[in-house]
Amino acid sequence: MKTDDLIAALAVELPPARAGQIERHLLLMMVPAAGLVLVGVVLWLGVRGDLATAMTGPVFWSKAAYTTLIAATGFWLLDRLGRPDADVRPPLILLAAIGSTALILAGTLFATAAAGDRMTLLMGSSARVCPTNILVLSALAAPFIFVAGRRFAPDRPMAAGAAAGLLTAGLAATLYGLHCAEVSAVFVAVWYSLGMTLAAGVGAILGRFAFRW
Amino acid sequence: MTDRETHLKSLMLRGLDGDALAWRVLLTETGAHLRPFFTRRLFDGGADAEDLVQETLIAIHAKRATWDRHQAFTSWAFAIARYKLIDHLRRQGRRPTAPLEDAAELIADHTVEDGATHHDLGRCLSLLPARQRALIEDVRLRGLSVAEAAARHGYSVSAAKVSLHRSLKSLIAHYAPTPLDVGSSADED
Repeated sequence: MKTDDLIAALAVELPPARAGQIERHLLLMMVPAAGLVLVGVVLWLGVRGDLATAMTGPVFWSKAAYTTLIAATGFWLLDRLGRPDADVRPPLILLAAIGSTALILAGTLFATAAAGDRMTLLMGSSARVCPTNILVLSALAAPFIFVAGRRFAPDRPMAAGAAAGLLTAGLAATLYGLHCAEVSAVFVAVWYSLGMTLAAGVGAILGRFAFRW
Repeated sequence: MTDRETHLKSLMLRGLDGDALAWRVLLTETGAHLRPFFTRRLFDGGADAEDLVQETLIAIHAKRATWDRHQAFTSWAFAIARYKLIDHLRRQGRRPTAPLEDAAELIADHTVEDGATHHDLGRCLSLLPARQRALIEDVRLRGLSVAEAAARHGYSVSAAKVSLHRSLKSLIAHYAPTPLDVGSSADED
């Protein structure tokens, strides 16, 4: 096909493209993604019995704030990686800042705790299942996020996949908080972070295939 | 450069609003900038350059919503071109390709007709003594010069010419219905 013919064919029907339409679509797709994760939490894991009282205290909301912040950073990172020639440094810096703050906070709490309390702070009662639970819940949300993410044009598909994985895992981990009754910041900083990091890794592999264009 | 950017950016903005005419102008002008970009960067004389121009234009069209209005249009478009180029080179690296002309030669070698001709020719030449036959095959079929073939088979150049002449003469004597004057072709001289 001649290039001129191709251009003529492309320029025939041209629906307007509004600013931010990909982001809006991604946000919209996060609704069914969250819905499915919520169903997963309720039916598979069950909501924690003391949810009503927990929601009046700061611990529940701190956990939710941490994972929501991770999801938001993943969203921002995906949004930047998904646009050719966009600057990805600001979301990366934010991500590094969040990650290091969480680790420093957890390290300080762990170091200053009485020796006998340390294992409880770190392991809680669900350390063994926490990362895998977050991974499984992420898998429920992933199809929506990755399909929506295909509208982007990432020149580094694996990095964009990792960002999408982070967004997915942040979403899943936030809702996982409805089940998980752990109260230790050390626990969250280690095991929640591990689950979300694993999801980002899986996302990178997925992105390699899902985000080709 | 800045003028070009301003110009293309205004076309891009109009295109995003659904102005098909501006979009057409934008794609045409961008294509003209992309062509030398790809031709310079491909080692195969640019046979794939036009394909890449088209792929990039399609991507610019399909992914136009990923352009941020605060971004420079040209750097966005060339980031897409770079991605398509790297993708192309990677694919090429994984699966080496040969120009179609070479493939045609390969295929032609294996046609039934060629095989039959080859066989017939071999039968005709089998009349000749082995050393004479090797010489005529090198000169007449493989395209070596008389001097090269002579050196290969231990003839002097003039002896090789005489041998070739004699070979042709005996072949013609054997196969031609009426005797021909071989010397008139004068190929050996």
